Amino acid sequence: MSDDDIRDVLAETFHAEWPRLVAVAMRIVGDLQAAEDIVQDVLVTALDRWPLAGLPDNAPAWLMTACRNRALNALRDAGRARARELGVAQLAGAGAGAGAADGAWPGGAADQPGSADRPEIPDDRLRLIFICCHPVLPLDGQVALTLRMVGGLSTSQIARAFCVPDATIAQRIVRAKRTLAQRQVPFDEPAGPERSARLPAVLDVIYLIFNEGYLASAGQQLTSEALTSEAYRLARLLTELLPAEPDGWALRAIIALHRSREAARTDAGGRLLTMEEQDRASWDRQLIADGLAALARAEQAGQAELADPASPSGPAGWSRPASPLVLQARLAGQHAAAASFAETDWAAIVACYDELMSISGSAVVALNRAVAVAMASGPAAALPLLDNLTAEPALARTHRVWAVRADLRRRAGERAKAIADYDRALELVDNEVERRYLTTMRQAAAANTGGTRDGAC
Amino acid sequence: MTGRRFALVLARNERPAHASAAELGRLTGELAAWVSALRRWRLLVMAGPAAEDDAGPVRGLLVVAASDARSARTLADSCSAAAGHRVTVLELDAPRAAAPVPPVPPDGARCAA
Repeated sequence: MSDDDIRDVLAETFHAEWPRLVAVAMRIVGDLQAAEDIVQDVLVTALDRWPLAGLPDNAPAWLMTACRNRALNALRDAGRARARELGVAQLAGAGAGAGAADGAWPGGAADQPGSADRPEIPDDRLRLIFICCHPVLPLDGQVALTLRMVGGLSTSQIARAFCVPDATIAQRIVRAKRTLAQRQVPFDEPAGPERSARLPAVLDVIYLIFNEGYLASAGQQLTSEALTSEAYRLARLLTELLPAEPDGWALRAIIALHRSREAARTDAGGRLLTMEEQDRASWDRQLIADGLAALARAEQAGQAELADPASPSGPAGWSRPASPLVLQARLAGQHAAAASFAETDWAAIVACYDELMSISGSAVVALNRAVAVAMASGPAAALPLLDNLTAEPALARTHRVWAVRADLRRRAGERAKAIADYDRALELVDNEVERRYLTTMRQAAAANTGGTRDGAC
Repeated sequence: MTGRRFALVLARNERPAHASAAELGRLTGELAAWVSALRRWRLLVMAGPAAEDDAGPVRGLLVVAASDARSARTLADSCSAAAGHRVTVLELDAPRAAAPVPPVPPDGARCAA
Protein backbone atom coordinates (compact mmCIF):
# COMPACT_ATOMS: atom_id res chain seq x y z
CA MET A 1 0.00 0.00 0.00
CA SER A 2 1.43 3.38 -0.95
CA ASP A 3 1.69 6.23 1.52
CA ASP A 4 -1.21 8.01 -0.17
CA ASP A 5 -3.30 4.86 0.08
CA ILE A 6 -2.58 4.62 3.80
CA ARG A 7 -3.82 8.18 4.32
CA ASP A 8 -6.98 7.61 2.29
CA VAL A 9 -7.74 4.22 3.82
CA LEU A 10 -7.36 5.50 7.36
CA ALA A 11 -9.37 8.64 6.64
CA GLU A 12 -12.14 6.46 5.24
CA THR A 13 -11.90 3.95 8.10
CA PHE A 14 -12.12 6.61 10.81
CA HIS A 15 -14.98 8.33 9.01
CA ALA A 16 -16.90 5.11 8.43
CA GLU A 17 -16.40 3.81 11.95
CA TRP A 18 -17.22 7.08 13.69
CA PRO A 19 -21.03 6.61 13.99
CA ARG A 20 -20.63 3.02 15.12
CA LEU A 21 -18.15 4.12 17.80
CA VAL A 22 -20.26 7.05 18.98
CA ALA A 23 -23.28 4.76 19.12
CA VAL A 24 -21.58 2.09 21.21
CA ALA A 25 -20.11 4.68 23.58
CA MET A 26 -23.52 6.34 23.82
CA ARG A 27 -25.16 3.04 24.68
CA ILE A 28 -22.66 2.56 27.52
CA VAL A 29 -22.35 6.05 28.99
CA GLY A 30 -25.79 7.35 28.02
CA ASP A 31 -24.61 10.85 27.23
CA LEU A 32 -23.84 12.22 23.79
CA GLN A 33 -21.18 14.66 24.91
CA ALA A 34 -19.32 11.99 26.88
CA ALA A 35 -19.67 9.54 24.01
CA GLU A 36 -18.23 12.05 21.55
CA ASP A 37 -15.28 12.79 23.88
CA ILE A 38 -14.56 9.08 24.27
CA VAL A 39 -14.52 8.46 20.54
CA GLN A 40 -12.37 11.50 19.90
CA ASP A 41 -9.90 10.26 22.53
CA VAL A 42 -9.82 6.79 20.99
CA LEU A 43 -9.07 8.19 17.54
CA VAL A 44 -6.32 10.38 18.97
CA THR A 45 -4.90 7.35 20.79
CA ALA A 46 -4.84 5.55 17.45
CA LEU A 47 -3.10 8.56 15.94
CA ASP A 48 -0.45 8.41 18.66
CA ARG A 49 0.03 4.64 18.65
CA TRP A 50 -0.53 3.19 15.22
CA PRO A 51 2.22 5.01 13.31
CA LEU A 52 4.85 4.11 15.88
CA ALA A 53 3.71 0.61 16.83
CA GLY A 54 2.42 -0.51 13.45
CA LEU A 55 -1.09 -0.52 12.05
CA PRO A 56 -3.38 -3.19 13.53
CA ASP A 57 -4.54 -5.97 11.22
CA ASN A 58 -8.13 -5.11 11.91
CA ALA A 59 -8.40 -1.38 12.45
CA PRO A 60 -12.21 -1.24 12.97
CA ALA A 61 -12.06 -3.97 15.60
CA TRP A 62 -9.19 -2.20 17.36
CA LEU A 63 -11.16 1.03 17.47
CA MET A 64 -14.31 -0.70 18.67
CA THR A 65 -12.53 -2.55 21.46
CA ALA A 66 -10.68 0.54 22.60
CA CYS A 67 -13.87 2.58 22.50
CA ARG A 68 -15.88 0.07 24.47
CA ASN A 69 -13.15 -0.30 27.09
CA ARG A 70 -12.76 3.41 27.47
CA ALA A 71 -16.51 3.91 27.76
CA LEU A 72 -16.75 1.21 30.41
CA ASN A 73 -13.89 2.83 32.31
CA ALA A 74 -15.54 6.21 32.08
CA LEU A 75 -18.71 4.70 33.45
CA ARG A 76 -16.88 3.10 36.36
CA ASP A 77 -15.00 6.30 37.04
CA ALA A 78 -18.20 8.24 37.18
CA GLY A 79 -19.61 5.80 39.70
CA ARG A 80 -22.66 5.19 37.61
CA ALA A 81 -21.97 1.57 36.98
CA ARG A 82 -24.70 0.15 39.13
CA ALA A 83 -27.52 1.87 37.31
CA ARG A 84 -26.37 0.74 33.93
CA GLU A 85 -24.62 -2.49 34.73
CA LEU A 86 -27.41 -4.65 33.44
CA GLY A 87 -27.66 -2.76 30.21
CA VAL A 88 -23.99 -3.02 29.40
CA ALA A 89 -23.39 -6.54 30.73
CA GLN A 90 -23.50 -8.07 27.28
CA LEU A 91 -21.10 -5.49 25.91
CA ALA A 92 -18.67 -6.13 28.73
CA GLY A 93 -19.01 -9.84 28.03
CA ALA A 94 -18.24 -9.35 24.37
CA GLY A 95 -15.10 -7.50 25.37
CA ALA A 96 -13.92 -9.98 27.98
CA GLY A 97 -10.20 -10.48 27.68
CA ALA A 98 -9.90 -7.41 25.56
CA GLY A 99 -6.96 -6.29 27.57
CA ALA A 100 -6.34 -3.33 29.76
CA ALA A 101 -8.43 -0.24 29.63
CA ASP A 102 -8.01 1.51 26.30
CA GLY A 103 -5.19 -0.90 25.71
CA ALA A 104 -6.59 -2.81 22.80
CA TRP A 105 -3.04 -2.66 21.55
CA PRO A 106 -0.68 -4.35 21.99
CA GLY A 107 -2.02 -7.71 22.93
CA GLY A 108 -5.65 -6.63 22.96
CA ALA A 109 -8.44 -8.80 21.66
CA ALA A 110 -8.64 -6.90 18.44
CA ASP A 111 -5.20 -8.05 17.45
CA GLN A 112 -5.33 -11.55 18.84
CA PRO A 113 -5.48 -14.47 16.42
CA GLY A 114 -9.04 -15.55 15.86
CA SER A 115 -10.55 -12.24 16.89
CA ALA A 116 -10.17 -10.49 13.61
CA ASP A 117 -13.93 -10.22 13.12
CA ARG A 118 -15.86 -7.28 14.42
CA PRO A 119 -16.84 -7.90 18.03
CA GLU A 120 -20.41 -9.16 18.35
CA ILE A 121 -22.22 -6.09 19.54
CA PRO A 122 -25.53 -4.63 18.50
CA ASP A 123 -25.41 -2.02 15.77
CA ASP A 124 -26.62 1.16 17.42
CA ARG A 125 -26.16 3.50 14.50
CA LEU A 126 -29.87 3.64 13.75
CA ARG A 127 -30.55 4.65 17.36
CA LEU A 128 -27.95 7.36 16.93
CA ILE A 129 -29.62 8.68 13.79
CA PHE A 130 -33.04 8.71 15.42
CA ILE A 131 -31.80 10.52 18.52
CA CYS A 132 -30.02 13.15 16.42
CA CYS A 133 -33.21 13.75 14.41
CA HIS A 134 -35.46 13.73 17.44
CA PRO A 135 -38.52 15.99 17.21
CA VAL A 136 -37.67 17.78 20.48
CA LEU A 137 -34.80 19.43 18.60
CA PRO A 138 -35.19 22.34 16.19
CA LEU A 139 -34.41 21.47 12.58
CA ASP A 140 -31.09 23.35 12.52
CA GLY A 141 -30.08 21.49 15.68
CA GLN A 142 -31.02 18.16 14.12
CA VAL A 143 -28.95 18.91 11.05
CA ALA A 144 -25.87 20.06 12.98
CA LEU A 145 -26.06 17.17 15.43
CA THR A 146 -26.50 14.59 12.67
CA LEU A 147 -23.51 15.92 10.76
CA ARG A 148 -21.37 15.91 13.89
CA MET A 149 -22.50 12.69 15.56
CA VAL A 150 -23.35 10.48 12.60
CA GLY A 151 -21.14 12.07 9.97
CA GLY A 152 -18.13 12.76 12.18
CA LEU A 153 -17.64 16.20 10.58
CA SER A 154 -15.88 18.78 12.71
CA THR A 155 -17.69 21.89 13.88
CA SER A 156 -15.52 23.98 11.54
CA GLN A 157 -16.35 21.80 8.55
CA ILE A 158 -20.08 22.10 9.23
CA ALA A 159 -19.77 25.85 9.73
CA ARG A 160 -17.84 26.24 6.47
CA ALA A 161 -20.39 24.16 4.59
CA PHE A 162 -23.24 26.37 5.80
CA CYS A 163 -21.24 29.60 5.54
CA VAL A 164 -21.85 30.50 9.18
CA PRO A 165 -19.37 31.16 12.00
CA ASP A 166 -17.95 28.18 13.90
CA ALA A 167 -19.50 29.49 17.10
CA THR A 168 -23.00 29.30 15.61
CA ILE A 169 -22.68 25.60 14.82
CA ALA A 170 -20.93 24.88 18.12
CA GLN A 171 -23.83 26.54 19.92
CA ARG A 172 -26.44 24.58 17.98
CA ILE A 173 -24.70 21.31 18.82
CA VAL A 174 -24.27 22.18 22.49
CA ARG A 175 -27.90 23.26 22.76
CA ALA A 176 -29.11 20.12 21.02
CA LYS A 177 -27.11 17.87 23.34
CA ARG A 178 -28.36 19.80 26.35
CA THR A 179 -31.96 19.51 25.19
CA LEU A 180 -31.66 15.75 24.71
CA ALA A 181 -30.14 15.39 28.18
CA GLN A 182 -32.69 17.67 29.86
CA ARG A 183 -35.63 15.98 28.18
CA GLN A 184 -34.11 12.60 29.00
CA VAL A 185 -34.64 11.39 25.46
CA PRO A 186 -33.97 7.64 25.49
CA PHE A 187 -31.33 6.16 23.25
CA ASP A 188 -33.59 3.69 21.54
CA GLU A 189 -34.85 2.81 18.13
CA PRO A 190 -38.52 3.62 17.67
CA ALA A 191 -40.54 0.62 16.60
CA GLY A 192 -43.74 0.07 14.60
CA PRO A 193 -45.91 3.09 14.03
CA GLU A 194 -43.59 5.37 15.98
CA ARG A 195 -40.76 4.55 13.62
CA SER A 196 -42.98 5.28 10.63
CA ALA A 197 -43.87 8.58 12.25
CA ARG A 198 -40.27 9.55 12.95
CA LEU A 199 -38.60 8.29 9.81
CA PRO A 200 -39.74 11.28 7.70
CA ALA A 201 -37.82 13.60 10.04
CA VAL A 202 -34.65 11.58 9.44
CA LEU A 203 -35.23 11.67 5.68
CA ASP A 204 -35.92 15.41 5.86
CA VAL A 205 -32.66 16.08 7.68
CA ILE A 206 -30.63 14.11 5.14
CA TYR A 207 -32.48 15.74 2.25
CA LEU A 208 -31.89 19.18 3.73
CA ILE A 209 -28.19 18.48 4.11
CA PHE A 210 -28.08 17.41 0.47
CA ASN A 211 -30.08 20.41 -0.77
CA GLU A 212 -27.84 22.85 1.03
CA GLY A 213 -24.80 21.13 -0.43
CA TYR A 214 -26.16 20.81 -3.97
CA LEU A 215 -27.02 24.48 -4.26
CA ALA A 216 -25.34 26.39 -1.47
CA SER A 217 -27.75 29.11 -0.37
CA ALA A 218 -24.89 31.54 0.07
CA GLY A 219 -21.20 31.87 -0.64
CA GLN A 220 -18.83 31.78 -3.58
CA GLN A 221 -19.23 28.11 -4.47
CA LEU A 222 -22.22 26.58 -6.23
CA THR A 223 -22.02 23.40 -4.20
CA SER A 224 -20.59 22.20 -0.95
CA GLU A 225 -19.03 18.83 -1.66
CA ALA A 226 -18.66 18.15 2.07
CA LEU A 227 -22.44 18.29 2.46
CA THR A 228 -23.48 16.42 -0.67
CA SER A 229 -21.06 13.58 -0.04
CA GLU A 230 -22.10 13.39 3.60
CA ALA A 231 -25.77 13.33 2.65
CA TYR A 232 -25.04 10.51 0.20
CA ARG A 233 -23.13 8.63 2.87
CA LEU A 234 -26.01 9.07 5.32
CA ALA A 235 -28.57 7.92 2.76
CA ARG A 236 -26.50 4.82 2.01
CA LEU A 237 -26.21 4.13 5.73
CA LEU A 238 -29.96 4.47 6.10
CA THR A 239 -30.66 1.99 3.30
CA GLU A 240 -28.15 -0.39 4.85
CA LEU A 241 -29.89 -0.15 8.21
CA LEU A 242 -33.49 -0.02 6.92
CA PRO A 243 -33.48 -1.99 3.65
CA ALA A 244 -37.26 -2.46 3.60
CA GLU A 245 -38.05 1.28 3.59
CA PRO A 246 -38.85 2.50 0.05
CA ASP A 247 -38.30 6.15 0.97
CA GLY A 248 -34.75 5.49 2.16
CA TRP A 249 -33.91 3.96 -1.22
CA ALA A 250 -35.69 6.77 -3.03
CA LEU A 251 -33.69 9.39 -1.18
CA ARG A 252 -30.47 7.55 -1.97
CA ALA A 253 -31.52 7.47 -5.64
CA ILE A 254 -32.28 11.20 -5.69
CA ILE A 255 -28.96 12.09 -4.13
CA ALA A 256 -26.90 9.71 -6.26
CA LEU A 257 -28.56 10.85 -9.51
CA HIS A 258 -28.16 14.54 -8.74
CA ARG A 259 -24.59 14.08 -7.54
CA SER A 260 -23.77 12.32 -10.80
CA ARG A 261 -24.05 15.72 -12.52
CA GLU A 262 -22.08 17.64 -9.92
CA ALA A 263 -18.85 17.96 -11.88
CA ALA A 264 -20.70 18.99 -15.06
CA ARG A 265 -22.70 21.84 -13.53
CA THR A 266 -20.02 24.49 -13.90
CA ASP A 267 -17.34 25.11 -16.50
CA ALA A 268 -13.63 25.55 -15.80
CA GLY A 269 -14.24 29.21 -14.99
CA GLY A 270 -16.96 28.42 -12.47
CA ARG A 271 -19.82 29.49 -14.77
CA LEU A 272 -23.11 27.71 -14.16
CA LEU A 273 -24.06 25.36 -17.00
CA THR A 274 -27.67 24.43 -17.66
CA MET A 275 -28.53 20.80 -18.23
CA GLU A 276 -28.66 21.45 -21.96
CA GLU A 277 -25.11 22.80 -21.94
CA GLN A 278 -23.65 20.06 -19.74
CA ASP A 279 -21.34 17.45 -21.18
CA ARG A 280 -23.17 14.23 -20.38
CA ALA A 281 -19.97 12.26 -20.86
CA SER A 282 -18.72 13.83 -17.65
CA TRP A 283 -21.71 12.65 -15.63
CA ASP A 284 -20.59 10.09 -13.09
CA ARG A 285 -21.71 6.71 -14.43
CA GLN A 286 -21.09 4.93 -11.16
CA LEU A 287 -23.41 7.28 -9.29
CA ILE A 288 -26.03 6.96 -12.03
CA ALA A 289 -25.85 3.18 -11.76
CA ASP A 290 -26.20 3.36 -7.99
CA GLY A 291 -29.07 5.84 -8.29
CA LEU A 292 -31.00 3.76 -10.81
CA ALA A 293 -30.42 0.60 -8.75
CA ALA A 294 -31.64 2.42 -5.63
CA LEU A 295 -34.72 3.61 -7.56
CA ALA A 296 -35.46 0.02 -8.54
CA ARG A 297 -35.09 -1.05 -4.90
CA ALA A 298 -37.45 1.75 -3.84
CA GLU A 299 -40.08 0.55 -6.31
CA GLN A 300 -39.60 -3.07 -5.18
CA ALA A 301 -39.79 -2.15 -1.50
CA GLY A 302 -42.95 -0.14 -2.22
CA GLN A 303 -44.53 -3.16 -3.93
CA ALA A 304 -43.50 -5.42 -1.05
CA GLU A 305 -45.05 -3.01 1.41
CA LEU A 306 -48.32 -3.08 -0.51
CA ALA A 307 -48.31 -6.88 -0.65
CA ASP A 308 -47.84 -7.12 3.10
CA PRO A 309 -51.26 -7.65 4.70
CA ALA A 310 -49.97 -6.11 7.91
CA SER A 311 -48.89 -2.99 6.08
CA PRO A 312 -50.72 0.21 7.04
CA SER A 313 -51.29 0.71 3.31
CA GLY A 314 -53.87 -2.01 3.31
CA PRO A 315 -54.13 -5.57 2.07
CA ALA A 316 -52.62 -6.88 -1.13
CA GLY A 317 -54.32 -5.71 -4.26
CA TRP A 318 -54.93 -2.22 -3.01
CA SER A 319 -53.06 0.45 -4.78
CA ARG A 320 -51.78 3.71 -3.51
CA PRO A 321 -49.72 6.40 -5.18
CA ALA A 322 -45.97 6.31 -4.93
CA SER A 323 -44.52 8.51 -2.19
CA PRO A 324 -43.22 11.99 -3.06
CA LEU A 325 -39.64 10.79 -2.64
CA VAL A 326 -40.16 7.87 -5.02
CA LEU A 327 -41.69 10.23 -7.55
CA GLN A 328 -38.78 12.63 -7.24
CA ALA A 329 -36.41 9.72 -7.71
CA ARG A 330 -38.29 8.75 -10.87
CA LEU A 331 -37.90 12.32 -12.14
CA ALA A 332 -34.17 12.28 -11.50
CA GLY A 333 -34.04 8.86 -13.18
CA GLN A 334 -35.70 10.27 -16.33
CA HIS A 335 -32.96 12.87 -16.69
CA ALA A 336 -30.18 10.40 -15.96
CA ALA A 337 -31.51 7.86 -18.45
CA ALA A 338 -31.83 10.31 -21.36
CA ALA A 339 -28.95 9.89 -23.78
CA SER A 340 -29.05 13.58 -24.67
CA PHE A 341 -30.97 16.69 -23.67
CA ALA A 342 -33.02 16.49 -26.85
CA GLU A 343 -34.02 12.92 -26.06
CA THR A 344 -35.38 13.77 -22.62
CA ASP A 345 -38.92 12.47 -22.25
CA TRP A 346 -40.52 15.71 -21.06
CA ALA A 347 -44.04 14.31 -21.35
CA ALA A 348 -43.15 11.56 -18.90
CA ILE A 349 -41.58 14.15 -16.62
CA VAL A 350 -44.72 16.32 -16.71
CA ALA A 351 -46.82 13.23 -15.93
CA CYS A 352 -44.59 12.49 -12.98
CA TYR A 353 -44.97 16.08 -11.74
CA ASP A 354 -48.74 15.79 -12.13
CA GLU A 355 -48.68 12.77 -9.84
CA LEU A 356 -46.42 14.62 -7.42
CA MET A 357 -48.75 17.63 -7.45
CA SER A 358 -51.69 15.39 -6.59
CA ILE A 359 -49.89 14.27 -3.41
CA SER A 360 -47.97 17.33 -2.36
CA GLY A 361 -49.09 20.44 -4.13
CA SER A 362 -46.21 22.52 -2.85
CA ALA A 363 -45.26 25.71 -4.60
CA VAL A 364 -41.76 24.36 -5.31
CA VAL A 365 -43.21 21.31 -7.07
CA ALA A 366 -45.55 23.56 -9.04
CA LEU A 367 -42.59 25.69 -10.12
CA ASN A 368 -40.62 22.67 -11.29
CA ARG A 369 -43.67 21.36 -13.10
CA ALA A 370 -43.99 24.66 -14.93
CA VAL A 371 -40.42 24.27 -16.17
CA ALA A 372 -41.22 20.77 -17.41
CA VAL A 373 -44.38 22.01 -19.13
CA ALA A 374 -42.32 24.70 -20.84
CA MET A 375 -39.91 22.07 -22.10
CA ALA A 376 -42.70 19.78 -23.27
CA SER A 377 -45.09 22.36 -24.76
CA GLY A 378 -43.20 25.63 -25.03
CA PRO A 379 -42.93 28.72 -22.79
CA ALA A 380 -46.35 30.10 -23.69
CA ALA A 381 -48.01 27.07 -22.12
CA ALA A 382 -46.05 27.45 -18.91
CA LEU A 383 -46.13 31.21 -18.31
CA PRO A 384 -49.73 31.34 -17.03
CA LEU A 385 -48.77 28.68 -14.48
CA LEU A 386 -46.17 31.00 -13.03
CA ASP A 387 -48.35 34.05 -12.49
CA ASN A 388 -49.91 32.64 -9.33
CA LEU A 389 -46.61 31.27 -8.12
CA THR A 390 -44.91 34.67 -7.98
CA ALA A 391 -47.44 35.57 -5.29
CA GLU A 392 -46.73 32.43 -3.25
CA PRO A 393 -45.07 33.47 0.01
CA ALA A 394 -42.83 30.37 -0.06
CA LEU A 395 -41.42 31.39 -3.42
CA ALA A 396 -41.76 35.15 -3.67
CA ARG A 397 -38.86 35.75 -1.29
CA THR A 398 -36.48 33.52 -3.23
CA HIS A 399 -34.92 34.24 -6.59
CA ARG A 400 -35.96 30.99 -8.20
CA VAL A 401 -39.50 31.77 -9.37
CA TRP A 402 -38.34 35.11 -10.85
CA ALA A 403 -35.42 33.46 -12.58
CA VAL A 404 -37.66 30.83 -14.13
CA ARG A 405 -40.24 33.34 -15.30
CA ALA A 406 -37.51 35.58 -16.68
CA ASP A 407 -36.15 32.65 -18.68
CA LEU A 408 -39.55 31.71 -20.05
CA ARG A 409 -40.38 35.33 -20.92
CA ARG A 410 -37.04 35.72 -22.67
CA ARG A 411 -37.72 32.60 -24.70
CA ALA A 412 -41.23 33.81 -25.48
CA GLY A 413 -39.79 37.07 -26.81
CA GLU A 414 -41.10 39.23 -23.94
CA ARG A 415 -37.77 40.97 -23.42
CA ALA A 416 -38.76 43.91 -21.23
CA LYS A 417 -40.72 41.71 -18.86
CA ALA A 418 -37.90 39.20 -18.79
CA ILE A 419 -35.40 41.89 -17.83
CA ALA A 420 -37.67 43.05 -14.98
CA ASP A 421 -37.86 39.49 -13.67
CA TYR A 422 -34.08 39.04 -13.95
CA ASP A 423 -33.65 42.23 -11.92
CA ARG A 424 -35.98 40.89 -9.23
CA ALA A 425 -34.13 37.56 -9.17
CA LEU A 426 -30.78 39.35 -8.90
CA GLU A 427 -32.06 41.29 -5.90
CA LEU A 428 -32.83 38.03 -4.09
CA VAL A 429 -30.07 35.63 -5.09
CA ASP A 430 -27.31 34.96 -2.53
CA ASN A 431 -25.14 32.42 -4.31
CA GLU A 432 -22.36 34.07 -6.30
CA VAL A 433 -22.27 31.48 -9.11
CA GLU A 434 -26.01 31.84 -9.69
CA ARG A 435 -25.70 35.63 -9.59
CA ARG A 436 -23.14 35.54 -12.38
CA TYR A 437 -25.39 33.24 -14.42
CA LEU A 438 -28.44 35.49 -13.99
CA THR A 439 -26.39 38.57 -14.87
CA THR A 440 -25.24 36.90 -18.09
CA MET A 441 -28.79 35.88 -18.97
CA ARG A 442 -30.09 39.38 -18.29
CA GLN A 443 -27.44 40.79 -20.61
CA ALA A 444 -28.46 38.23 -23.24
CA ALA A 445 -32.09 39.30 -22.90
CA ALA A 446 -31.13 42.98 -23.15
CA ALA A 447 -29.03 42.27 -26.23
CA ASN A 448 -31.74 39.98 -27.60
CA THR A 449 -29.34 37.09 -28.05
CA GLY A 450 -30.12 33.42 -27.65
CA GLY A 451 -28.71 32.25 -24.34
CA THR A 452 -29.80 28.86 -23.17
CA ARG A 453 -33.18 27.23 -23.23
CA ASP A 454 -33.49 25.54 -19.93
CA GLY A 455 -32.83 26.80 -16.48
CA ALA A 456 -32.45 23.36 -15.00
CA CYS A 457 -28.97 22.44 -13.85
CA MET B 1 23.12 3.08 9.16
CA THR B 2 25.64 5.80 9.76
CA GLY B 3 25.74 9.05 11.67
CA ARG B 4 24.83 10.02 15.17
CA ARG B 5 21.69 8.96 16.98
CA PHE B 6 19.01 11.37 18.10
CA ALA B 7 15.85 10.82 20.08
CA LEU B 8 12.72 12.58 18.80
CA VAL B 9 10.27 12.91 21.67
CA LEU B 10 6.71 13.36 20.41
CA ALA B 11 4.52 15.34 22.75
CA ARG B 12 1.03 16.80 22.65
CA ASN B 13 -0.87 18.53 25.40
CA GLU B 14 -4.26 18.59 23.77
CA ARG B 15 -6.17 16.77 21.11
CA PRO B 16 -5.73 18.05 17.59
CA ALA B 17 -8.12 20.97 17.51
CA HIS B 18 -11.15 21.01 15.22
CA ALA B 19 -10.39 17.66 13.65
CA SER B 20 -13.08 15.55 12.05
CA ALA B 21 -12.95 11.76 12.11
CA ALA B 22 -11.65 11.69 8.55
CA GLU B 23 -9.03 14.33 9.32
CA LEU B 24 -7.79 12.31 12.31
CA GLY B 25 -7.59 9.25 10.07
CA ARG B 26 -5.64 11.24 7.50
CA LEU B 27 -3.25 12.54 10.18
CA THR B 28 -2.70 8.99 11.40
CA GLY B 29 -1.93 7.89 7.86
CA GLU B 30 0.34 10.89 7.42
CA LEU B 31 2.39 10.03 10.48
CA ALA B 32 2.44 6.32 9.61
CA ALA B 33 3.69 7.19 6.14
CA TRP B 34 6.37 9.43 7.64
CA VAL B 35 7.59 6.69 9.99
CA SER B 36 7.60 4.17 7.17
CA ALA B 37 9.61 6.58 5.02
CA LEU B 38 12.18 6.94 7.81
CA ARG B 39 12.38 3.16 7.95
CA ARG B 40 12.80 2.90 4.18
CA TRP B 41 15.57 5.48 4.21
CA ARG B 42 17.24 3.47 6.99
CA LEU B 43 17.16 6.45 9.31
CA LEU B 44 14.92 4.88 11.94
CA VAL B 45 16.67 3.00 14.72
CA MET B 46 13.61 2.32 16.84
CA ALA B 47 10.17 3.73 17.61
CA GLY B 48 7.48 3.21 20.17
CA PRO B 49 4.38 4.84 21.60
CA ALA B 50 4.01 5.83 25.24
CA ALA B 51 3.43 2.62 27.18
CA GLU B 52 0.74 4.16 29.36
CA ASP B 53 -2.14 6.25 28.29
CA ASP B 54 -1.55 8.72 31.11
CA ALA B 55 2.05 9.35 30.19
CA GLY B 56 1.23 13.03 30.16
CA PRO B 57 1.96 15.00 27.06
CA VAL B 58 4.62 12.54 25.82
CA ARG B 59 3.03 10.39 23.11
CA GLY B 60 5.99 8.47 21.73
CA LEU B 61 9.64 8.30 20.92
CA LEU B 62 11.68 7.72 17.80
CA VAL B 63 15.40 7.13 17.68
CA VAL B 64 16.82 8.25 14.36
CA ALA B 65 20.21 8.40 12.75
CA ALA B 66 21.26 11.78 11.43
CA SER B 67 24.53 13.33 10.43
CA ASP B 68 24.12 16.27 12.81
CA ALA B 69 21.68 18.06 15.06
CA ARG B 70 20.44 20.26 12.24
CA SER B 71 19.44 17.27 10.14
CA ALA B 72 17.70 15.74 13.15
CA ARG B 73 15.80 18.98 13.66
CA THR B 74 14.72 18.95 10.02
CA LEU B 75 13.35 15.44 10.48
CA ALA B 76 11.60 16.55 13.66
CA ASP B 77 9.99 19.49 11.91
CA SER B 78 8.66 17.31 9.11
CA CYS B 79 7.07 15.01 11.70
CA SER B 80 5.58 17.94 13.52
CA ALA B 81 4.05 19.16 10.31
CA ALA B 82 2.76 15.66 9.56
CA ALA B 83 0.79 14.98 12.69
CA GLY B 84 0.65 18.04 14.87
CA HIS B 85 2.98 16.78 17.56
CA ARG B 86 5.51 18.96 19.31
CA VAL B 87 8.85 17.27 18.76
CA THR B 88 11.86 17.68 21.01
CA VAL B 89 15.24 16.53 19.72
CA LEU B 90 17.63 14.92 22.17
CA GLU B 91 21.10 13.95 21.12
CA LEU B 92 22.04 10.44 22.19
CA ASP B 93 25.56 10.22 20.76
CA ALA B 94 26.93 13.62 21.57
CA PRO B 95 30.47 14.13 20.38
CA ARG B 96 32.63 13.79 23.45
CA ALA B 97 34.62 16.70 24.69
CA ALA B 98 38.32 16.10 24.36
CA ALA B 99 39.47 13.87 27.23
CA PRO B 100 41.60 15.65 29.78
CA VAL B 101 45.24 14.92 29.27
CA PRO B 102 46.52 12.89 32.21
CA PRO B 103 49.59 14.14 33.92
CA VAL B 104 52.69 12.75 32.38
CA PRO B 105 53.98 10.00 34.62
CA PRO B 106 57.58 9.60 35.38
CA ASP B 107 59.58 7.94 32.68
CA GLY B 108 58.76 4.28 32.24
CA ALA B 109 55.66 4.33 34.43
CA ARG B 110 53.20 4.23 31.44
CA CYS B 111 54.80 1.15 30.01
CA ALA B 112 54.70 -0.47 33.38
CA ALA B 113 51.00 0.27 33.71
